[in-house]
Amino acid sequence: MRVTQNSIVEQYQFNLQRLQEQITRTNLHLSSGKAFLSPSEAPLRAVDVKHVETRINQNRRFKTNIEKAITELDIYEFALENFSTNLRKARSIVETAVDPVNYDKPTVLGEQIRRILDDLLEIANYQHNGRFLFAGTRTTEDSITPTPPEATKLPFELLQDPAAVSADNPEGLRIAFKGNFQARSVLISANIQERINTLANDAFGTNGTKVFEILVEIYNVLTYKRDGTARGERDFLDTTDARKLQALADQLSDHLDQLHNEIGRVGGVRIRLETQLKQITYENTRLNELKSIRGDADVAQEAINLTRFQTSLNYTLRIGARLFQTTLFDFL
Amino acid sequence: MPFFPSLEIGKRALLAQQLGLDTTSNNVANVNTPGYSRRRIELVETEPVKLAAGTIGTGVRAGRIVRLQHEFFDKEIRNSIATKKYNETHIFTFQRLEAILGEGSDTGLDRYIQRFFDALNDLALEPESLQRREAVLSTATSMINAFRTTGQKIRVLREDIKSKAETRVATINKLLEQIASLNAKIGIESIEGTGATAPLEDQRTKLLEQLAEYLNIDVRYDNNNMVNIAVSGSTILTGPNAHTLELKETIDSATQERTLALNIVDTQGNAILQLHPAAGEIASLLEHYNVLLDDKDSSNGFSIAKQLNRLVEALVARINAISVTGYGLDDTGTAPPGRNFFDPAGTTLETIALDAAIASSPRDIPTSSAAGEPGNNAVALQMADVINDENFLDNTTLMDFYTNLIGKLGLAGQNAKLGFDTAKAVESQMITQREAMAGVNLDEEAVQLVKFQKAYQAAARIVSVANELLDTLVRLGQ
Repeated sequence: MRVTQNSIVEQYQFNLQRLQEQITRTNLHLSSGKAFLSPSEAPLRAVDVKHVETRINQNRRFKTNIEKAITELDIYEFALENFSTNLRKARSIVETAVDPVNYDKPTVLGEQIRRILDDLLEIANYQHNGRFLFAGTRTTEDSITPTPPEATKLPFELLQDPAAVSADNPEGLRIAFKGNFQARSVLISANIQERINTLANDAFGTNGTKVFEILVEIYNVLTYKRDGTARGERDFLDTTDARKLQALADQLSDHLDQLHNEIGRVGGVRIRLETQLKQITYENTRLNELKSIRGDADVAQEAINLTRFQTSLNYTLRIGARLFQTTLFDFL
Repeated sequence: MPFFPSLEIGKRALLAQQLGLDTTSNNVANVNTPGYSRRRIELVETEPVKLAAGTIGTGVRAGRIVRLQHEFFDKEIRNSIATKKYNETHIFTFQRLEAILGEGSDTGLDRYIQRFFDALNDLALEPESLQRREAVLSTATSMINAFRTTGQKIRVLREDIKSKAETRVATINKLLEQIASLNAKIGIESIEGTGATAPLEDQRTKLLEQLAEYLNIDVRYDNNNMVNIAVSGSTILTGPNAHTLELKETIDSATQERTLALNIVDTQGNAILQLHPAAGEIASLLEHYNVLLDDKDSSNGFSIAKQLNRLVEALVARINAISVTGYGLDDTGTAPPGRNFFDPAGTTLETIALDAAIASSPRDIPTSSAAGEPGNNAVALQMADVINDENFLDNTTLMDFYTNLIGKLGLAGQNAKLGFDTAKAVESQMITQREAMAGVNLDEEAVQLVKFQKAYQAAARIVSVANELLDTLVRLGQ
């Protein structure tokens, strides 16, 4: 091929420019730590990284939801266990009462039942993060509207309702439930929700009040005679009272079974969520690795490239200094 | 037959070799002149004379000065320039778009969308929380601002492109005038046979290469060495007559789509013919204005502006469709208040907005499926789940739709880069090959210089000898 002064320069400049571009790009990869600086540099890798990022973010949201759900389930488990403990105490008191040797202690035991009833109501009105646990979706005081004679903005209220006064219930004691039975759920996966709250009827029986009504009935049997008058010191229980109390104790046992079922359900959900949390955490670890593989600069490779390009540049520049050799004119 | 032929032969040789020396000197002088094609003198033996003894030569004359050039290389270089410039302009626009979309940084549009859905997700966990509600409004506002800024920047980029195209068309018209003018001069020189067209042709070659930066031109030579230029089959210059080109914007009355067209216009400025350049800067600019950045594009090409508007429209529609079924913290009654989250009128990048009622009252964000249930997160959950919906748009999720857009943009950018690199390499190769044929080699010119110098010295010697002979003859008669 015929060589001219301009063709030498043209080729030289083309190669020099290309080398400098490669060095600049490699430097940017090294300084930014990224395998590519814009999607157009490596569109397929950029799309891969974005897809992985989307999945990581999605998992991160589900992880947040599950962690919060587990915390809340812990609270429910704690509250329900606490409720169960108190309820077992109440059953024990009733079992004590039906023992003929204790027929003479109904009022003392009645007072104990009343205290337990108050404790159980306190548990039923538990709040976590300012939200009532067992009120369904009426989780705040603002959403609870008491209807007289109800007086509090709590979901469960033990009130003395004149309309409820009878020989069996001389004080007119009644449990008012002002919440609802709506589920509260969280997203644990795309389009999949998990209920995290315990509904009042699952925890406390029919209408969310059944267990309290049983306790009120027990209290009334222990505190009042069948004619509705208060028991005096000498007003012992009789076998009819004992049979009734036994029947109520059986109901408490049935309810305890229901309560344990609910505790089991909560525990089951918790375990399931913990398993899923582990899976998500593991998946995100792998996804982050994948993101790094596809999106981060291979520092060793880039460093080798840089050395290679710099060596080439050094030689190219040396050649540049000798680009114009002597010509025939120098000898004429 | 001259009185003394050797003297005449010597004179002719002196003149011819002198011209050879001059041509070589000119080559050496222009060794670094861009676009210069080396010249060679063609020496021709003059008409011989018949004598009784036979035929005798009468010396040499300079036939013509040849400009060493080949149209094949010129054509390939012009094509490479047009392709290179087309792709270079593509790269420039794609890079600006990537910057506008925040790609390659941590401020991409997708981050704002993610943050908005993060906040919706958190709200679904605690729908009673005013802080969570404020966070939703805050992230929604950030996302809206990002959408709007993106829309504005895309619109400004489109206007920049229009302005750039107008400037380029003015340059094209100037170039066409200059080429037509050179054509006229070359035509006259060719007819008169003066042989002085080489510098003009070099100049024209340069102008044609400049023109190729803007348009894919097809150049044909006529009998008088003038060029005719066509763009995608439509003639824009014939010999000394250049057409005027003009950019014209039309607005579709039904869709309000604005389209730019490159037309040949008459002296009154009326469009005669629309040009459809396939390469060169103008082709790229028109594609970007009419398709890539046109939010009302009807060509079914890849329009990032239109696709982003579709994303916004779908987002507004989906969130609002859920939002109207829900209740805020203070809502009462059995029927939902039908409150939108986004202003339903704002369905484009630049018009998306929060619904005025929601914007001023976070308590009104519909999260519940029933009135008076602050802990009810059914509606909030549905809204938060929109980001996971696999049928959000074009049978894909919101984020995947956006990622695919970025992927398409990246691929287009990568193709442009590959096209640019290839065209640049071809151009460089063609220039090298043209240089190999038409460029100046100083060693070669030195040889030529010596050759003509020696021939000149020899011719001078012939004249000197003839002179001596003539002297001898003259003295014979004394």
